[in-house]
Amino acid sequence: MSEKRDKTKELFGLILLFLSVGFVSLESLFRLLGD
Amino acid sequence: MSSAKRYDPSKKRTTSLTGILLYLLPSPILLAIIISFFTQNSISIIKYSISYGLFFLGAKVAKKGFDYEKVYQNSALAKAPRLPYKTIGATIISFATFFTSMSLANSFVFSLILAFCSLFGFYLFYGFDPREDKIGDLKVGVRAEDIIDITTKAESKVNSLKDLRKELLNREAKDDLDLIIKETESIINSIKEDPNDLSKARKFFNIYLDRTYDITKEFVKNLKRGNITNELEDRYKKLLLSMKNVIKEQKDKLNDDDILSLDIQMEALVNQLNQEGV
Repeated sequence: MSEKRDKTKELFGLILLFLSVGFVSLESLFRLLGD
Repeated sequence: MSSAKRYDPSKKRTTSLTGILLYLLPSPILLAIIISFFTQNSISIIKYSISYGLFFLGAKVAKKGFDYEKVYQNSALAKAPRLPYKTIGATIISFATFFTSMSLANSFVFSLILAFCSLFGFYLFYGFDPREDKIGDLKVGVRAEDIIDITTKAESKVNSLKDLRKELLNREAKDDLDLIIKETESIINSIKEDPNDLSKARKFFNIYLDRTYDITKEFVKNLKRGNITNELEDRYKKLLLSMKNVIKEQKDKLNDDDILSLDIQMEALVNQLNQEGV
């Protein structure tokens, strides 16, 4: 049960990292390409 | 008694690839810098270079934290990292996210939310730094720092002795030194298992091991220069023999105390059982 909770926590952390760092990085690239 | 808790290594991943994601996620910015070079857009070059630089710095600092954590996890006794590198790395990455978002003209609040998401995401995915020294329950007067310092120095001396052993030419001296190395490692491990025995082995580590190392180092240095006479070699072999005896005494001392402690405990239990009429 605890292991499952840890996995969920890690997955949530990974999603947050993608949504924040991944988002600004891709936004930087697409803004440049859009200009 | 120490209140230090044991760190659970199974909960954190520590491969050499740990942290690679932190370099990969901002890679589109690197692509943006390259494109900016081709389009000769100097403002974009500066803006994206600062962003990528911050992300890279954050990943680099966090990587240092992962490396420290790996050492911490692999040691039975370890000090918590002096600086919380993972936390510092996460903060830099969070600031980089905020800076990049602001430079893209996103709103302050939205940028702040993204920065918080990256910080929280880092914490959930990688965790922050171990903050407590990894040490068992200690008797009064036994300091965690002493145990870690002495065993770390002893391990380093043993590793150096292993290197010096390779330089020895005499088979007998090589075998004796090999035995000394193995037995010293076993004493270090027994101290790690029961740090309260440190007081009994302190002299062994601080004097005998140090002197053996110094003498072996000098011996090998002179051996390379061709200054070693047969007489000196015999004296060195005698020294190794004495060291073997010291190690035997040291191990007996550590074992005797454990046996005495077991004997006292058994006697106390028998007395108690007798008093209770069992």
